[in-house]
Amino acid sequence: MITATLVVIAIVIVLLFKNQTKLHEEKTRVQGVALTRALSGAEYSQLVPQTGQHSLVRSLVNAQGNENFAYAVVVNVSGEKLYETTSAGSITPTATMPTEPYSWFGEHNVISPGDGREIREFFAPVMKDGHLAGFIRAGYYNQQATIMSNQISSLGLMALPIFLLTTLSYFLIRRETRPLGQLSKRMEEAMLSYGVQLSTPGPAHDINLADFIQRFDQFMQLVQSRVNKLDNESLASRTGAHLITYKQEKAESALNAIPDAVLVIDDACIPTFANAKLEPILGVSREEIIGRQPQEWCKNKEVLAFLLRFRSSPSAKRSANMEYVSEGNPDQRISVAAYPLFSPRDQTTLFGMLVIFRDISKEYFARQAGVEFVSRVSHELKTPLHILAAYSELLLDHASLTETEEVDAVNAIHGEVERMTGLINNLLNISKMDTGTLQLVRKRVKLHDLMQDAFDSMSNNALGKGIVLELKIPPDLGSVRLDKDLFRIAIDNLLGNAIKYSNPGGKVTVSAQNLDNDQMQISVRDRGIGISPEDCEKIFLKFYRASNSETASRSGHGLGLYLARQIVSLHHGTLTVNSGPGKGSEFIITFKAQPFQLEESQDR
Amino acid sequence: MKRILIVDDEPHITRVLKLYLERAGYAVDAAQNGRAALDDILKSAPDALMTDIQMPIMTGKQLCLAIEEQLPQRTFPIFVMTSMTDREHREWTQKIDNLEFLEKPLSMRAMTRALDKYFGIAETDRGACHV
Repeated sequence: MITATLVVIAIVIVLLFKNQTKLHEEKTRVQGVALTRALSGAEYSQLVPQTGQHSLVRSLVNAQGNENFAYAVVVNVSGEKLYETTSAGSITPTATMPTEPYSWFGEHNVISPGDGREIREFFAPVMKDGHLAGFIRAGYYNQQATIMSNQISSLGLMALPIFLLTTLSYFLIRRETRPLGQLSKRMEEAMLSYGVQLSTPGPAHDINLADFIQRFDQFMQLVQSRVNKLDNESLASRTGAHLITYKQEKAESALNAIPDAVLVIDDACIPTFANAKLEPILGVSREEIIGRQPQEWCKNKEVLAFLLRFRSSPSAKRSANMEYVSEGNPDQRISVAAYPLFSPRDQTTLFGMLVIFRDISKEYFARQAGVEFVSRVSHELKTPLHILAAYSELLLDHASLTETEEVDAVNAIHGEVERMTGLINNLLNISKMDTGTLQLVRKRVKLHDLMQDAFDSMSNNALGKGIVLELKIPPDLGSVRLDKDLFRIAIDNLLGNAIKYSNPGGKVTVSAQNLDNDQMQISVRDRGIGISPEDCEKIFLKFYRASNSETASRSGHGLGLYLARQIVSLHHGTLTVNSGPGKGSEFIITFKAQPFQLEESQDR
Repeated sequence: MKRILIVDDEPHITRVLKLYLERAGYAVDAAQNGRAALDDILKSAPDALMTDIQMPIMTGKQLCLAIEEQLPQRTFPIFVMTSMTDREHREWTQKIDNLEFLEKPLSMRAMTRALDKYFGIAETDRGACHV
């Protein structure tokens, strides 16, 4: 150990010495070169001063203050000294100067003629008027080993702490390399996990630096290859991500294209997807919905309660339905259906719930209209039955009725039977028309006769209400081709309405005329209660009845005009109305009297 | 003689009911709608009211509710004649005491029996009071 220490000290000293010498040489060289170069560029007159003048050479040498300075001398080409300055006791050695310009600048070693010490001499040319006038030579003593001898003790003192530090360092390094060993072991493990065996396995705690570096190198190689591999994987996964994004966008656009509003909520009842249709239904934008608790955006209490029940427990995540009326718009009915979203691979894993909002206003009102229709029709059927029952019971139970009373009763029964028949016929025809099974059977008919028949069958009804019927049809009107039975239903409905909505003592006029272009026009005009402008179009809708007291006081089922218009349409004609409240109404049928020849062939 | 007020917008119905009930020994008045009936009732209360529901100007439902409000001490029974026996009508009629349904098509005999039975019981009660 001690030997080692001494060796270390010696090495340190030698190294220090070598270093110092080297430093000295460097310094000397820098100064020598600088001095000669500086003087070489100076004016000749400044180098070789006249008596009484200061020499530049002397000034520069003094400025450098180098303790090893030996001499500086300006010589002419033939080597004669022109100016000289020396340190104490130094003698300038003679020297031959180079003649070739490439070696005018230079340095060489010379021996001091006085004490034989080695001098490093630097030289440079001196120019005068563009010609070589001489040289400047500067000499510096080289550093001697003897100078070092008086430094040895201080160097030794310097070495002692180094030695102490070294020993300390050794133990420190031993301690510090322990984590290094652990690190090495960890690297080994890491590499083993990648399936790579380190080439120099050894006890990890007693590792030397070279081993460690080797291992580190291996590790770095492995890490590099691993990084490359990850790079490739990342590229692949980026491509995959693009593909997934594309697929997701496709799925989202499909969800957006669904005509119903779609909302997807996750396990915690927080929306993760909502399509554009949701906004008009819930009145909140998608941005406000996604990622937020329903309490924050759901204004409708019923919907909120419906959504929140899927939050409670996994068992609550079952399909469910509800219906509600939009708070802002009482005509808007929304049906809400929720379905659990199971993972396709695992039926026990739930992604959340799919909630679909559907505007069912149309369906609802159609359903309501249907229900109302059934109720109205049954009422319409029961009322005549009611009367039939009452009168027949009256006739049965009371033989003592007067003749007038009996006639009245029988008339009432007859009228009600006709009313029921008409209603049932209308219903049957509408059902045929709705299912598309109604076949038009066109026949040649004299319009006058057709209208006269309809007129006659209604006149009794009109007379009973004190209404005057007027028929203004020229007997020579000519024939038309139409489905007689169906057309009669249309005419009967119009005439029946005209009588029904006339006031007692009113007049109903039926007229027909030939228009240009082979068009026929039939008009049924009354002077009754009339129809408001808003109702004029609606009266042709199925089941529609104007809602006013005048209408309500008259029985009806809202089918007559609907059916009449459908029948006229089947004949490629139009049915329109001119009316106003209190002005009476005029219903006008316009149709082609002689339709295409093609249809005639069907008759034969 | 018990006075019966019949309210129906179908003239045939009022005519035949009047004819039938008069022969059964009742005095019968008829009204075309709820408004006319209410005016009549406020002038002098009948012994029984028979009303349709679907009528212009004032429906049978409105008439019954108006009577409930304006004559809380009413003693005469109300018979509601209707073909509309849906739940809606069941609900509001349940809140009104002394109200009965007569379903259309109505049997005259059944109706007369119902009236006779009602007044028969009333007669007995009245008789008991006198004794």
